[in-house]
Amino acid sequence: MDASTAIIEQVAAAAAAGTHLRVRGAGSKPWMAMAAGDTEQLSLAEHTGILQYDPAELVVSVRAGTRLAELEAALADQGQMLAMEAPDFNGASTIGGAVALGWSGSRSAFAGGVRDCVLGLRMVNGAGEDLRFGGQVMKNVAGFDVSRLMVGSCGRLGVILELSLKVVPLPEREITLAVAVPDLPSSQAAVRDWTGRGFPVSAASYSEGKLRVRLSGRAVALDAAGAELGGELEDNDWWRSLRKLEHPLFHHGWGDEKLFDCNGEVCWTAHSRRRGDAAPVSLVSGPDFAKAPNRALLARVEQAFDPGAIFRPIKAA
Amino acid sequence: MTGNFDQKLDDALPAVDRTALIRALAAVLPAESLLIEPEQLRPFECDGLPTVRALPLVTVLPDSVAQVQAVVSCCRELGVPIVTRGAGTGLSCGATPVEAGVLLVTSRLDAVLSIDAEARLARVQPGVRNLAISDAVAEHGLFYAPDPSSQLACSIGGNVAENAGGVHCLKYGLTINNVHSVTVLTMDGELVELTVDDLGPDLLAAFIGSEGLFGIAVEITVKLLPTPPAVETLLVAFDSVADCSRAVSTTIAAGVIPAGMEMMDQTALQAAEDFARAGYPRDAAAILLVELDGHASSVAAEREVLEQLMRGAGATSIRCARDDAERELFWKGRKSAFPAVARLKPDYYCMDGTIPRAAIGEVLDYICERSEYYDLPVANVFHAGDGNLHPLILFDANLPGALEKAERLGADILEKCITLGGTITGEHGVGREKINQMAVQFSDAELEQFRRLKRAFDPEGLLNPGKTIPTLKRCQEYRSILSERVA
Ligand SMILES: Cc1cc2nc3c(=O)[nH]c(=O)nc-3n(C[C@H](O)[C@H](O)[C@H](O)COP(=O)(O)OP(=O)(O)OC[C@H]3O[C@@H](n4cnc5c(N)ncnc54)[C@H](O)[C@@H]3O)c2cc1C
Repeated sequence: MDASTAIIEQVAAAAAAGTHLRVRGAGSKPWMAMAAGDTEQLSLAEHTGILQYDPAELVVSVRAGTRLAELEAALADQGQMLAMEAPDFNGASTIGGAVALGWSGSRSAFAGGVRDCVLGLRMVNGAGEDLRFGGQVMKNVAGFDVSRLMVGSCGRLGVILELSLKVVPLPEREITLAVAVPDLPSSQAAVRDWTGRGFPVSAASYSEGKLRVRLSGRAVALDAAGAELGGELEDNDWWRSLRKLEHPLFHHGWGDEKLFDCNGEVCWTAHSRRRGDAAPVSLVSGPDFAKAPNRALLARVEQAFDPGAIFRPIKAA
Repeated sequence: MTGNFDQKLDDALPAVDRTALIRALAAVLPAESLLIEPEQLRPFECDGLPTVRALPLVTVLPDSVAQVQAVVSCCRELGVPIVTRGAGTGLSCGATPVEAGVLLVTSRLDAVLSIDAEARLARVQPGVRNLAISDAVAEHGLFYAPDPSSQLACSIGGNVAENAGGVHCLKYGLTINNVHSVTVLTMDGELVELTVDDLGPDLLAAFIGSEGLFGIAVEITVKLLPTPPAVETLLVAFDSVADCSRAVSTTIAAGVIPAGMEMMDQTALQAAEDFARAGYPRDAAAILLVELDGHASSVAAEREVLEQLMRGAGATSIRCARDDAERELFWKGRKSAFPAVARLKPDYYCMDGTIPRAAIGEVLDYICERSEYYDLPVANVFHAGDGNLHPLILFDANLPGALEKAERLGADILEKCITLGGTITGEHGVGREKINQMAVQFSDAELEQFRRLKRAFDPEGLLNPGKTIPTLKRCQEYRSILSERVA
């Protein structure tokens, strides 16, 4: 359903009245609640549907409230998938929410993350203006790259209404191999060796003394990999459990143990996720923008999109 | 109406006291890094698109970040615009100087600072040439993937500023997908590090492709990839452009994503063959160069699928490079196609629109029709797998009206790309060249959002003024010309 008119009106009204709005997809990440309880919500849950999808172009355009699961099912029907695997919480996450959060899934260290597959979008800024950036083609450098700037913006720059995303063919086959290793560095060394030999690694995690590697590609190449690399064949559900945050670690943790995804680029502990050297993001209270680097520049960028600060209400204490 | 700077349509440049500027710069730079004589400035009057030229007030060639900072601080204090220039191979007049400004050339900032073979990252200065990165890391079995045809000369700083692509971007992505972090010097003198890991909106992505309007990239960390163990390069010939165009869509639709997929029409392939002796079939109407890479087993499997698809699409011959030497020759023809075509006529003008792949045939027909209408030959050599066109318009600028005709033909092509759901630039950027077409592709509100974003990075508007984002006045003027033409 197209709810864009109502959404734009709601933003324009808030801008005129100087009130605040909290952008919300389908509410699969309640911990992202950024604002005091009385802030008006702007929901994208009803703004759904695939707008355009021509498999031969490797692009899909979709309304932001469309559930990830629904979008992925439509792509799978045509033998394709998104070029990233953003987390899908409780099967309820929307594509707009996934882009606004910007968390890249297991594939990101090898085949790109959320920002790598965003080609264009339609958005409403804090002045209630209806804007389009980027497009539906693979290469486009006309104007500044606002589409990718919106990745990770967590609703603080504006409302994403529509997205055009790069899709890729589903791999002919996928397998998961598990190998016992003493620590993260030796797990990374093994992955280096495998990718260096041309094997199509699409994910690598390390936890509890075990490296798990997913290979995605031509069946013949995976047969060759299985024969050459050894390791124990496991089922691919591991990656699903990481993606859906179903692994018990996410909720309970165990002592000092950590789980490293994305070949060590992402570190999960109980109730938190950390990417590289960035500040960890809590799965209880959401990202703390006071910890974002380059605060002054970021504040000016936020001001440029949302001069009345309607999308930046004060966070609840 | 051209992209030339026009006082009535573009923002006025500040009045600058040149003597005071030179005095201030001389105090912070060694004499050999400060060029002030007209004959010293002349080589910098344009980039790779010489239709727009201007002499800067001075040219500076800093050899350290501290010197860049000192230049920026002088310019900030005196209110002087800065245009950053890498190698000057840009094709959209992005590095063309402004008359009231300083041209800051990064060519002496050319050190590879460190290579982390384990993390597969290289930290480099902005003036390092694109190919020099791959050369420097080759001993570790690594390479830097984006490979513009200008890679021998162009700088990584220029690549970041333009979000440059290349012949292998179909599989490996553009600059944006292969940069880990950039240290940016902003006009207020601050060094800001933008990385892929940052929390919050993707400022790194916004900086990449900002055409020198946001800040000066003074250090760049690029991602490296392992050299693929197996590579196959196929030279596929067709006796019609339509069949060749269709073969591109068919391949992608069948789920085969080659590392690169480049198309050349007869004019381009013959010129390239005469120039590089690449072994192209001169009688073909069009050829595709297709590269597959990865593990030997999957490359072999994909090659089989690909050959079948090509035959089905009407290929008249398929040749696979026998060895590395032949593969290099195949690519040499492609990578030297621009200079090769340039030999056909005194001048050429390279366009850069992108369209959905399915429309390649239609847009090539349109180009052919417009080429006849303006009576100017056009050669096509382009990144077909990405739908990124590079029509090369051939003309002789010494003939009266020829340049204007070439620019009109170029504008027609770009505007056709927009109509077909594409864009006016896939990798070369807007610069001054496509400034008018921005008014066609974007609304006033969108352009105003760009201006506000620009001011967030550069509140005084001192970096590369007049480029990339047209003024409201220019937009109104260009749109009214277009509607008159339609009427
Ligand atoms: C024969 C030929 C073939 C080409 N093939 C391709 C191709 O296949 N793909 C492709 O993408 N391009 C191609 N190009 C275009 C050009 O090479 C690229 O745009 C390249 O990225 C420009 O790099 P440069 O160092 O020459 O930049 P310049 O031309 O010097 O500058 C380009 C822009 O970058 C800005 N800039 C430069 N350095 C910095 C910095 N350190 N910080 C901030 N801003 C900076 C400048 O202000 C300017 O706006 C080709 C050009 C030629 C002549």
